[in-house]
Amino acid sequence: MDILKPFPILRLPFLALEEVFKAMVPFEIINLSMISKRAKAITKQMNFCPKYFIRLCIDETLVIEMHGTNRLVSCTYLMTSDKQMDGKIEEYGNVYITRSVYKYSTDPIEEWKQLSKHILEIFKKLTIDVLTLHMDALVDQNISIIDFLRTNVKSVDLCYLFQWEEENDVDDHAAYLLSNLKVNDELNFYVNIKNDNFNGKIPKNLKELHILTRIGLAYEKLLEIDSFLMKLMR
Amino acid sequence: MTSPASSSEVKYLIESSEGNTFDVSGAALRQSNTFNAMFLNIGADGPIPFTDYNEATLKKVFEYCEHSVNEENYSGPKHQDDLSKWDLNFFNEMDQKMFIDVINASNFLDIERLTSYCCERIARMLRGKNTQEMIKVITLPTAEELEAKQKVEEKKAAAAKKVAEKAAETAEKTETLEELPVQQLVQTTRNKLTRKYLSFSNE
Repeated sequence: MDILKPFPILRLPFLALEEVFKAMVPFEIINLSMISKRAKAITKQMNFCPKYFIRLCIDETLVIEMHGTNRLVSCTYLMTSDKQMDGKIEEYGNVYITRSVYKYSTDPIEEWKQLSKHILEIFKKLTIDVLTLHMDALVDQNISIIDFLRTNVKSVDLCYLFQWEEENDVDDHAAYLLSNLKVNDELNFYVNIKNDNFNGKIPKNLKELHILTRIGLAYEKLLEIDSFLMKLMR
Repeated sequence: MTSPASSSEVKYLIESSEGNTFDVSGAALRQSNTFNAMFLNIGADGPIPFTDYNEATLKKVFEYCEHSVNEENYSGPKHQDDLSKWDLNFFNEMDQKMFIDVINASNFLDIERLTSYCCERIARMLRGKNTQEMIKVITLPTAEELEAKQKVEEKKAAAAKKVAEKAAETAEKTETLEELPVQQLVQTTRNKLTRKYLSFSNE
């Protein structure tokens, strides 16, 4: 059979179609789901998709990372405003393959939001596995990004909050994030809080909480913490 | 020649959509979970009807089963590159219609290994392709093509509407033309009758 000849894949029986999807990497599934409404609806019916691992990273470059169920291929979208980088693929690794694709847009943040929303929808993910947020990378966009997460994500299993420059004041944004996003398992809070009366809500029932010692948390706030494991980092 | 015996020597008769029957070994048939669930323990009294599929497709499917009888138990999908020469020949010699029929039959008979290899082969068609390239593979019309098609349909509909309107106009004209002499006739008859009635009443 000529594999270059057009093939009516979407007309296959569901179980066969599911096998085809299982043999595809996340990039291919996402591309296929964008073909038509029918393709999107079929993709959403795949029961194994919610098991995919998804990481969202907000830094100067916005990132969406996905791992299939076998965890052998990691697929990453990198948003770029450089047109020359559009579609560029980087791949490394032999057994564990990491594949990155640059996606160009004049408004990378909006593109990242749209793509994240689509991915969360087709993979039926209400909870994202990892969220990494560099609070001072896109300061002006922090609130809009947090609002986007609040609207589209129910909770986050593992959350990393960083900041590049110590002197940047992102207290309010960090507090806003903690008030609006539920963290289930682990919070790595590496933000340099300036305000002694930081009013962010430290999530309860965490398995692990990593926090910088220089954070000016009030004594009452510390008493509220009930994580299973708490590490104070220098 | 059908029996529930588990020996691989036992042959089962399979009936295709054309009504033809042919032999398949028990060992080959047992790769089908559908067969295992339906006939393995109770046996089949007469030919087993797989009448949704034609003879060529069923023979192709069971050719694969016969070949893989001696292979180790199936343990999940194998990468396409690991397929043997025989497997590759098996897939390459099928045309697209036969390939689709084989997938459907294999899906119905629940032959995991064959279904998985076929599907892996399909997934390979999409490997590394972007959305536009996938559209070409899946033979779906693109948004531009759909738009062009819609425009053509709109034009056709507008033309048909014009023709219908013209036809209605012509019909209306014809109706009035046809009606005129009848009305005149009625009127003249009425006039005559009135005159007659008047002359009678005068008398």
